[in-house]
Amino acid sequence: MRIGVRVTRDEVSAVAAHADGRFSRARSAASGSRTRVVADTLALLAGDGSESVSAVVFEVSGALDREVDASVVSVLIEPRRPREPRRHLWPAEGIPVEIAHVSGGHNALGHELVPLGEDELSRLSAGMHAGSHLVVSAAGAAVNPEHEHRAAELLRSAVAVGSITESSTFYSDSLLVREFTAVLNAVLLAGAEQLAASLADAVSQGLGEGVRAFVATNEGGCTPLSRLAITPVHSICADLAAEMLGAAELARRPDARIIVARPGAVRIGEFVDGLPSVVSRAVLRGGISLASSVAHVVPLTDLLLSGSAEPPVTVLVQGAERELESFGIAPTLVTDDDLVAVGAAVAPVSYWHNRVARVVGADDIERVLAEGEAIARANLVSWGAHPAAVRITESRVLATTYGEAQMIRVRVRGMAATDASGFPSGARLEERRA
Amino acid sequence: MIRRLNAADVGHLCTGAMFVACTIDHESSKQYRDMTLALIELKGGGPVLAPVGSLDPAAMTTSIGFVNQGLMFSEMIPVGDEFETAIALLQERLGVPLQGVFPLAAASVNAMVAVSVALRTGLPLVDADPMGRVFPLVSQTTLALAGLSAGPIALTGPTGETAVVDVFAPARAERIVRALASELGGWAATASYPVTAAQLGAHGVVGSITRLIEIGQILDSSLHTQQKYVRLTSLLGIRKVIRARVTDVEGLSRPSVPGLPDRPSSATLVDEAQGRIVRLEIQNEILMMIVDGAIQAVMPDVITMVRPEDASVAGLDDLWVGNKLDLITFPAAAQWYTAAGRALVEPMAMNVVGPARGGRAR
Repeated sequence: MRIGVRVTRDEVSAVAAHADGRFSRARSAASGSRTRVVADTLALLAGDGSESVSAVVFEVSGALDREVDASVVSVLIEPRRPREPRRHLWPAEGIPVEIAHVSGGHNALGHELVPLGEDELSRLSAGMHAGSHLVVSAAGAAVNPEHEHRAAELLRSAVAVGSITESSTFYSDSLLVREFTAVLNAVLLAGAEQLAASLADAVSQGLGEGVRAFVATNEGGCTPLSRLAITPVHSICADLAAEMLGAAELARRPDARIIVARPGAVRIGEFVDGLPSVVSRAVLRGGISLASSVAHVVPLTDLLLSGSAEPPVTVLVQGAERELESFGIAPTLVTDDDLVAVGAAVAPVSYWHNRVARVVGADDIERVLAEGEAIARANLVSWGAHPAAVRITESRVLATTYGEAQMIRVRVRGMAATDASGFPSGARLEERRA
Repeated sequence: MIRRLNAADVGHLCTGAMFVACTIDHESSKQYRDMTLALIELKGGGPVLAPVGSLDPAAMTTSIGFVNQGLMFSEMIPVGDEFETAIALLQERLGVPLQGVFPLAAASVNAMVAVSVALRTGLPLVDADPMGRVFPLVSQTTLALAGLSAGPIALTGPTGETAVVDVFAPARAERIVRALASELGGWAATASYPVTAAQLGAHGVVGSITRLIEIGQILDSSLHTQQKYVRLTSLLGIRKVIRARVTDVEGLSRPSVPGLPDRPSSATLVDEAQGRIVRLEIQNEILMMIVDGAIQAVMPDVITMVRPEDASVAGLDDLWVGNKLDLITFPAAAQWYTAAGRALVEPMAMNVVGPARGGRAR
């Protein structure tokens, strides 16, 4: 049995996907201790324990809170100080950030262009408040993050910081997009850490020790719950992908265009081989880019309904009849299920390997792809997937526009289902050990 | 007619500039748009857009543009003085004042850069350019076709280092400036192709800035996607719109021509309506579109992509398996369809891709 749990500030809604294809549901108001409410909900779904729970996947986009009074300092490491203020992306999200510039940076081949301004960093650290969240972003860090690493070490040793986030944790060719993603991630960290701890406790209280816990991610997969406390930004819009996954699961259509009509919104997404199609960056309100892969889910328009020989699969959530009427399409399926929780229950565990590599020919390309695939497999297995259950769903090199001829981008995605065959429960692990 | 561009014009110009150059990096164009809008607010007005004919025929002008080989401007962000430095160096070398700037390519980020530079320097933005779209090489210009010199070229890199290159042949200029761009840190902010207004009017693509604004006005409007296509067809002579879903993207191991930028890739899509197989050959831009084995469009044709849901401009980053895109082709400036023009820019002529298996479809 796999359990998906949608956790919001007001409600806990859970769905158990049983091995025989049945679904069972539980829903509670989030009053009092969140840990207690989630634990009780999980215990209710687990029932008498006759069917072991292989994984619990939480969808938490509705429960992530930003630290309101966080002190954030963004350290930009670039060859020269800008003549005018940069057009940073975080003001649009209302996040106050203090900016500092330090010299440094690497070129596209990963060679140091300007030495890191260590003296500047020392002077900077002298004026910093303890407890500040620091974001370190260096030009060229997507190729060589050495200046970000050294700056982070130096600052960590000089100031008692709240957190340090290096922008190269997130993959983007844009320094300011990486910086913004790291800033947003930083202000989510404190809340996400508490949430992750609370949910981990709830799993052990409600289901016992040994059940693996995951958190749903923006692109329709999931990752170990412990990652929520490190990169919460990858879960901030996971509900859209989970809802689509839930609809595709209920409709039993792994390859289709899926329309979900729910009160207030009708959206469409494309599924290939059971996975939603993905774009490399999320676009927030106001067109701000975020360096996080997301499922490509967009509001339905008449135009999107036309031009395809294959009719879409339409899942109508009860109460959204009027929204669907305007498009003149009949639902394939009507449901009162919480599609987000269903989607979380069936979300596969997912690992992305993004890097820039230097190649000189076909052999090198094969080698970097094989390395990427091996890294993806190793991570998924370390998260509990059975090696035979790992699928590499994407493995390709991408050109870098107007880049150095021998530099390529490598993108590998590994997946593994969280059902019983890939993720044995704690009880079954104990049995095997015995 | 000489006029001052306003904030709305700059927004539309950016949309148009992204539409005619389907590249990965639209962030840089948006970055320059936002910088320009902030500057317009600060100065209380936009740059002057001047038709070529409004300038003294003997007035010296220069093209403005980034030449990239390495990290893009969105990663290695310019500090803001690079083009002013390059212009000052070029004026010093020429010994005459420059009286107008025009983009090296009226497309992508270089179209936006010229607007920003015109606003900063107070020089008029001349309504013309030497490509009418974007080509990957500095030497692929209508000015080069006319036998005009690319140099002297003044350039500034991300670290503030500068150079002035006395070079005549555009092909040599491409090799030298590209190598310098790499060494300087990924790009060079260049002032090149110093020409008189008369030469630009005779050999450039005239009115290209205005055309970008008109494209943006259509795409930024509240019209439905199909209505936008109708308007664009009337403006640009769109030949083909194919709605297709990406089924594969592959990086190719064939080497780039020595000294030229980037590694090529290919994307395969399936036409949603009729099941035709569409293949895009990509190297910096989309070079060629092949449908069921026959070439439907090839450089110098412009091949671009928009998102079907709202006709917003897509980039090469949108080529993800499963994504649906509208592929659009339309002709480039007439100069490129002459024998000499084709010889300079067709992918086969550049040895970027081999001879096509199928025949040209039209």
